[in-house]
Amino acid sequence: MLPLDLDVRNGEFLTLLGPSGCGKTTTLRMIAGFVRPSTGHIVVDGDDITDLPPQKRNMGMVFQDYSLFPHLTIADNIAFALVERRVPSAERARRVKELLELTRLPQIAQRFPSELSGGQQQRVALARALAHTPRVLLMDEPFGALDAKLREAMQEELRTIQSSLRITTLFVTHDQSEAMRLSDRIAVMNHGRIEQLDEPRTLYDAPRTRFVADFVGKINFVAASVVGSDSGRDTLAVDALGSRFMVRSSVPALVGQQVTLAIRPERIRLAAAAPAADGMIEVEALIERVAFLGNVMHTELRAGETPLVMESAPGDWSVGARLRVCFQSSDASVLAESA
Amino acid sequence: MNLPWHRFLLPPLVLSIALLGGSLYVFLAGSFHADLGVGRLGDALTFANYRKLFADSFYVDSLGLTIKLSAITTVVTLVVGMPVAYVLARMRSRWGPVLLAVIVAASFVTIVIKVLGLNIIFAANGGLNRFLLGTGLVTAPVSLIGKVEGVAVGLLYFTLAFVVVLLYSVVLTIPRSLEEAAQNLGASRWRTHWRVILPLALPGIIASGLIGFNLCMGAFTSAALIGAGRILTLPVLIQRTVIFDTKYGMGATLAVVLLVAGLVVNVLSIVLVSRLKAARGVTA
Repeated sequence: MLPLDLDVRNGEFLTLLGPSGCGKTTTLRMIAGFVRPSTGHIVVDGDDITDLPPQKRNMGMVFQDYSLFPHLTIADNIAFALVERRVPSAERARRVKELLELTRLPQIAQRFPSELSGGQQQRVALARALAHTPRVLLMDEPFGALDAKLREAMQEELRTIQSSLRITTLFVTHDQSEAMRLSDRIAVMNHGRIEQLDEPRTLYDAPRTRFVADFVGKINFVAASVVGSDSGRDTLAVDALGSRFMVRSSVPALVGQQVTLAIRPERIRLAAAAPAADGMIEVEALIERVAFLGNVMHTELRAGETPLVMESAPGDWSVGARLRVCFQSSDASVLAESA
Repeated sequence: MNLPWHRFLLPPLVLSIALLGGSLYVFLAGSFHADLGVGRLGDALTFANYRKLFADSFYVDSLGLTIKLSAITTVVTLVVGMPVAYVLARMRSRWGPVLLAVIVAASFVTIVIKVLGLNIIFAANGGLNRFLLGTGLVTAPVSLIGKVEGVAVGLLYFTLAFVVVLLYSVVLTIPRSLEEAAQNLGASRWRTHWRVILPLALPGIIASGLIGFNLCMGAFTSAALIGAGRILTLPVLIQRTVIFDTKYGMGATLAVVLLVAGLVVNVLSIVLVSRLKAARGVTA
């Protein structure tokens, strides 16, 4: 792990997003107290908890494999933390009932974990992690084992529960669409570092690095050479795809330098018959593949040597034909290479 | 190719059944015949041996001593073995398997060698006794020979390695993440053991305990060598009855009683545990 600075706001849903081995789970386990950071501090509400053992941190964690206690009933699983806190049994029973209702679990209090479906176990794991009203809810790829439909339903439910309780939540996933759907903010991690921490929208529209752009959503990369740079502003003049235009840049570049432009597939569209408007870059390309997905169509194009993907409303073009496509120069940007 | 592998199992199966069944038959049958002296058995079927055994406090005390000694040794073995097994199973370093291998190797050392080792350790002029006498903790040299405690130590020495290896595999079946879940929910290390590890390991602990108990019930060497003829457990008594007294009928009867007593304890423990689990399932 590299030095890492992460500030989670009270009540927010923050996701650590990244490929496997990027350090997101380790970060979560440090906060839970299972891994000791070699340096630095973990502070919650002004209390330094770096040296506290896991049982004194008052966190609620949902594990990847749920880790329900197989020898305890669902009610006893949920009440586990309350027993440790010596909550009287009447109060305990009331709280368990409340949580079973919150997680919309039917009458399963007296069953054992092995008798439940994956989705039900998932909800019990969440109820158990919430029972003692933890300061932070930690979730480690909780929906990884569920099928797509159930995962989506659980995501909805988690969002509802999280926003009704306003509990600070730290969520770990490698699934970018899950992260986008759930999070107030997303920290994209790579090689033990946070590449960018932003709201999902900013992350998508203004990725700071090539890695972030590539990991969050689909993106086209186009080779370009710098022909003019303005040191005062974050714009560059570039030659790319046979045109010369101005683009945003998150890194300084010198004239003559080779850079990479990033353009989202849905920003590329069919060119109009009329002459191109100001700032509109037109390209002629060969259709190499077409994928019809119902509401949208993915068209894989090749403009000279450059592959481009266009995401558009379904059209009636087919492989082998040539298309004139265009994009706004303001929709392209130069991104920093990840360190 | 579809070799009929199961046919290869046939010879060992027949041999095992012949040896087990044959010896069982011989001493079961023998126990119903009266001893006529110098190894001869009467022709008539009789319960005389059993009547004599249960009427004579000498035999009954020996049975009681064997069960008590085995039970105490089993409990001590589990109490000593469980922490060792737990630490070995949870050890992250590569020394874990090495230490386990050492324990397995130790269990291969014959009990005769181990008992000799114990004798040297506890010798009247040995290092341990010289130390104890020197500190004034004892006034006379401590010896294990001919003492119940000594036999118990010998039995512990005999069964501990088996039990540790068994419990090691029991602990391995409990996912570490369950411990983390318990800690995350506020359970201290000790509470995690009490509420998660022990209940989950219980069936394995009982099974390991029963295996240890059965080893103790049938242990002859440590009882004979350390007991030195003064601690008469059933296996020792059987050997004396058969070899010294040549009372094959009585020897067979004692063997049957030992076998049945062991069986009863095993069945009772299994019934008790399943009752306990059922009761917990209802009240939880």
